[in-house]
Amino acid sequence: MQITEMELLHIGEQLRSEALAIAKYASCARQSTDPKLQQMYSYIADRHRGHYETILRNVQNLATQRQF
Amino acid sequence: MLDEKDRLADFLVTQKYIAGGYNLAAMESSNTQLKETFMGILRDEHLIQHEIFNEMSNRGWYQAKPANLNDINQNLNKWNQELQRVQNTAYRQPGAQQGSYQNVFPQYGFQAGTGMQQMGNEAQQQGMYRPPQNPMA
Repeated sequence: MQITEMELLHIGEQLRSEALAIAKYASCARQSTDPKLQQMYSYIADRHRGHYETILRNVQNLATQRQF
Repeated sequence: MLDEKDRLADFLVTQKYIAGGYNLAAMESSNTQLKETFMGILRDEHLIQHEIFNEMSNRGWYQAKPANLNDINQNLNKWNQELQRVQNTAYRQPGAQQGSYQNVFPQYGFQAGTGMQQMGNEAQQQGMYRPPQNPMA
């Protein structure tokens, strides 16, 4: 399976957004004084990290498949 | 320094932006596996956005104004008429395959005034979209 240039472009954009989101939610989790929001922010930060890792794994898989 | 309300509002905007990116990424993916991945994450972005919205709504920080019932009913009438008009136009075109679409169409339950009576119970309750049977399958 190949990755197109367009796909690579979107992957880069989304990874950049996800990285910012991780940083932003994690930072707010620390700054917030409301325990419920702290918990929610930190859970959402984890989910965004999950998105980042999922996309990265996908690209790695596709790149490996292409070598054989 | 942003207060708690501003932070939540900012996250709503963030989620909207990220979800938009995934929608476009999924739409423009030719690789099936990648497209599925983008669509899966898009769904989670929507869920996150909704959780933030609910948090704001519960605190009275986001009040969405309910639509007027008269306006809803007026629009429903208009949209039902529009559907009738489009259906009539579509099926009267010369060369159109009469019947083939009509066999499939009632699954939507889109006839004016009938609601979703022809759908399964669960779909009827939830108002879920059910695509018609694919004639090419």
